[in-house]
Amino acid sequence: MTAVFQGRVVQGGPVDGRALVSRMGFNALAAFSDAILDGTPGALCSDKQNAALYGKDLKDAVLCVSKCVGSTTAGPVWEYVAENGLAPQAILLAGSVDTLTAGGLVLTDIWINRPVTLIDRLGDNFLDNVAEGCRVMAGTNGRVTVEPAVAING
Amino acid sequence: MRLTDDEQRMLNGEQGEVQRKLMQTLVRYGETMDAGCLVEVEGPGHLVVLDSRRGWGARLEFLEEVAAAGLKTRFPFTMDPPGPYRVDVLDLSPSQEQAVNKRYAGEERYRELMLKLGLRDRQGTTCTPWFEQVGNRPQYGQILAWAESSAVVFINSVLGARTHRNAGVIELISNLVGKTPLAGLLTDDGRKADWLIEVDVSTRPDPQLLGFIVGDAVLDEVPYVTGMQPYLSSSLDQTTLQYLHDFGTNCAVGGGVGLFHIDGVTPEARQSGQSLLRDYYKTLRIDDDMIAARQSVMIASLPTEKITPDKCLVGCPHLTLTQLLAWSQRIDDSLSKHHSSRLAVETIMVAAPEVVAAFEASGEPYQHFIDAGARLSSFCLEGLMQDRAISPATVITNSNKLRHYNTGVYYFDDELLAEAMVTGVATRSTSP
Repeated sequence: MTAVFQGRVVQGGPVDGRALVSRMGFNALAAFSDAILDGTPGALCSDKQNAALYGKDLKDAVLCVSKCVGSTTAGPVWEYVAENGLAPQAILLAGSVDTLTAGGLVLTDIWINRPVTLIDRLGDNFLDNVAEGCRVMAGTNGRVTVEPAVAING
Repeated sequence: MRLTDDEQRMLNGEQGEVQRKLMQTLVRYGETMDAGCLVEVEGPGHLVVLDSRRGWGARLEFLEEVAAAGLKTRFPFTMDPPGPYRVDVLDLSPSQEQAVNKRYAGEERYRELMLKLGLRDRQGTTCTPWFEQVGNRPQYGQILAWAESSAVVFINSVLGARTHRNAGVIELISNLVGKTPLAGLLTDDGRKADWLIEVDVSTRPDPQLLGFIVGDAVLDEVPYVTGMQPYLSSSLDQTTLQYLHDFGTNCAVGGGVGLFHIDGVTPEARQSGQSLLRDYYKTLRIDDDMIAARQSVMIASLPTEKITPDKCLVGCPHLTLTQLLAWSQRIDDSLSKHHSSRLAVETIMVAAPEVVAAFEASGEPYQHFIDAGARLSSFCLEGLMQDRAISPATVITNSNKLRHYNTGVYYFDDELLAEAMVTGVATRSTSP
């Protein structure tokens, strides 16, 4: 069943993509360190502590997370992944955005001109209604629609 | 957000395009945290943007743009140590040297630009700027704009300064503009505790373990920790400061903690006690079983019963002079125990340039350290481990932070580490 949530648009435009979901804190440095080091075309999540995301391609995903945590190096990390086309399409947060993610993503908009969409305050039950592979759409008004994941045969 | 006339003019671009973008960045950043206004930065900053590598430091184009606009911070700042660029303790092969030089091609220009923008001096590069020898030590209540997780949580919690957990580059922008958003950890309300952490243990817990458990539970919220008074001094002596540094560093590694209070110990907790707790707070009780369970996870990563490490790395975050002196003694003791005169594992310890100088001036302890074959430098260990061309395959360390962010890094306590340095073999138990 389709679920709809209302959040706060911090920045960015419309979203339409497949969800990756993490109920534990998302650590940008740990997640993107391999992508930064290897210079590979994708952005396979390198955070071993995050079982839900480890090894999955974060590039162009709609990243649905509870919180973001980790190192203050997040600023240059977000700049790098945005500049090199490795960033997720959007970050959707159940609660309020933290200072590291907010700062890093504002930099992608103002200094890199490749804004990563950020919508926060989607509510505690947002993560209960979104699963990996769900189609997630959002307009510029912060209204987020989640459609169930469709099983692909073969 | 309410802006002063000057701020509004800057935002309108009346002072130039670069200034407009700097102010726009701060305003947008402040709006994300519902800040009502910007406030003056009251003292020197500290930056996390350590060197010229893409993804680690500020972009050179950005620094050039800002420097060309003639901007400079009001107070001279310190910054994190660079990665292993031009260090002589690594014995790199020519091809490795080449790889490093390529990766750090912009480094000299990066340093020049940082000095132009307000870096205090070429020595001012460490992740522990608040050490006595370095001297960037904030005062209680001072409004600042810092980054570097381990430093931010320490100055907020133990020194009572007030800074956001700023992302890299944002901290530089804040210091260039001289303003930071008034919200979160800068306000009395933002410094209230969301969690009561009741530590109920039979012996003093390892600070790294305890910090990691707390960070993992509270994420980016503020914990108020009770039950630690028997193990810590309210006078914040050297041992307590070191404990709180290790604890805070790991709160920030396990979660995203920017401030903690410890009942009867940290300044705001001494002043206000449990009234710092919010009306509705969450509770976590930490007992011996929980500590043991986390410890078993931390040490369970050893691939075999014994490993032969390529390197032993100590100093993430940078070591104090007291720690270096203690390591000299610990190495002496371990060498004596094993009737040896040289370390079997290549061992590198890192500290702030000023701390290294003080250790070099210590005479006998420094000479013993060097005679044993240990090496001393001031680069960032994380920078070494994150560089595939030169990072050693198997590393032993006493830093949970270094272990957490890297592969092939194994954590040992100081006693086992000293033993492994001398024997060349790392195991989970000491030899008789």
